[in-house]
Amino acid sequence: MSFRMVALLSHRDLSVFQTLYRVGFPEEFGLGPMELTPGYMVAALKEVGFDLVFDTNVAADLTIMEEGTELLTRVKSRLENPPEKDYPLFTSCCPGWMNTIGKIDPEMVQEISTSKSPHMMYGAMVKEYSQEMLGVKPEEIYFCSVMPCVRKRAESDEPAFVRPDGVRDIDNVITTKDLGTLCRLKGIDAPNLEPVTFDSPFQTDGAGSGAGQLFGATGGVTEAAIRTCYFVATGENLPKLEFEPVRGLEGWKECVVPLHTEDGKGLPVDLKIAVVNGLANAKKIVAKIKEGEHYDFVEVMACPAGCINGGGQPQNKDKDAVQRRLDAMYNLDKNMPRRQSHEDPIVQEFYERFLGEAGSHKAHDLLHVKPVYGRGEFE
Amino acid sequence: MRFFFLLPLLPWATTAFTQSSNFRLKTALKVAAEPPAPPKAAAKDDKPEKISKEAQELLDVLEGKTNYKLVIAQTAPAVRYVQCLWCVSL
Repeated sequence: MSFRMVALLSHRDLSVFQTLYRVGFPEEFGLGPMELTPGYMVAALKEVGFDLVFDTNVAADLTIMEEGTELLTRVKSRLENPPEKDYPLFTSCCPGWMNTIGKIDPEMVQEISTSKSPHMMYGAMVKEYSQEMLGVKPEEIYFCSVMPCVRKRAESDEPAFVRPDGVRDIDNVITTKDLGTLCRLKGIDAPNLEPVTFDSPFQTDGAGSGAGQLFGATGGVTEAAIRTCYFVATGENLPKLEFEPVRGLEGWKECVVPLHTEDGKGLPVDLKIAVVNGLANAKKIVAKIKEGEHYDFVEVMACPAGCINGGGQPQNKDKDAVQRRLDAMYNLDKNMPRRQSHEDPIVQEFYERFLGEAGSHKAHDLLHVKPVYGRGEFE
Repeated sequence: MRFFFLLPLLPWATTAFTQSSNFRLKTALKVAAEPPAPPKAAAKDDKPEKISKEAQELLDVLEGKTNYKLVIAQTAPAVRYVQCLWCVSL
């Protein structure tokens, strides 16, 4: 009854009430809203007409394996041979950032990670090993990404992501808003569908890890990378997986992460990391680096708050909406059965069956790209 | 005791209150009693919703206008948490 009383206060409150009711709807089944939503989305995508629905979480885990290896290799190499210009490794998964860095400072383009962004990695793996994984030829597959970002389509159009046989790694990219439009056009009532789990290219489940979940928020790539890099360097898990210094919606965060345990196991390095979001902050941090400030790793997301607030997302006038999306991500990470990218069984199988090890020659051929963009070529 | 002089106003106040809140009360109770209405397929008279060229391309593929054997989707982590996709109008 209390909700009804709230609703009685004004017409405006009625809409609030309706929202609460619907967000609370999954709890009728004894589930939290976060548990129900992905299953409903997969079911809706199947209704739209997709044969298989993969989770980009898996590719985010793969990205961490490659980008983390790149970072560790770079740090080790710089321990032995300190470079003349001590620039950091920049993340490469945000096309808004990739499209801007060259305009901010062309010299910095060389410092961008060569790892492809997660959805492009998944596209490359599926098309390259389509026969082994799915029993069809790459040209017989239409692979579409559903993204929170309006620039991902332009990224997938880049010539570097078209195979020598002319087949694209990713054929199309639609936004979250597009998916909503398609559901309405087809009269799909997502909340009343039977939830379905993600498909997997193998026998294992296709849900990925908690670390992969974090990619959608500012600081998420860094937190995922820290978990795996610390494990690879020391052989132990971080004492606490939730890495608070990079969490939250602030536009600029900094921290120092030791790559060794208290008893000295690991690398004798303390990584200095910065996490920024919003292009104004990106410009500021590049300027600071040029002035001589040292960082080892810098994560940049063009959209304030990261992908959860991307241009392809539904625009919500509620000021707290982005915070709620962020909280949802942290909750999902917390509740995942595995929380580190290197624990993802699909990623493990990718390496065992096809790639060898992270950073291998084969992995480089398929999952890395020279920073051919970042010069405004695909604006 | 000191407010007894307001008693004659009570019938007027009651009528005014119920009339003004009647609509809200009914609507609120209706919302509370009924499950959320499913989104309707576009009717002929409705103004057609704008569709992006990417979404149209996908629709063409799904409608079999091309010869793909397998149509696969992948969804980014940030997409699924937008619960308001079906919960509030966009």
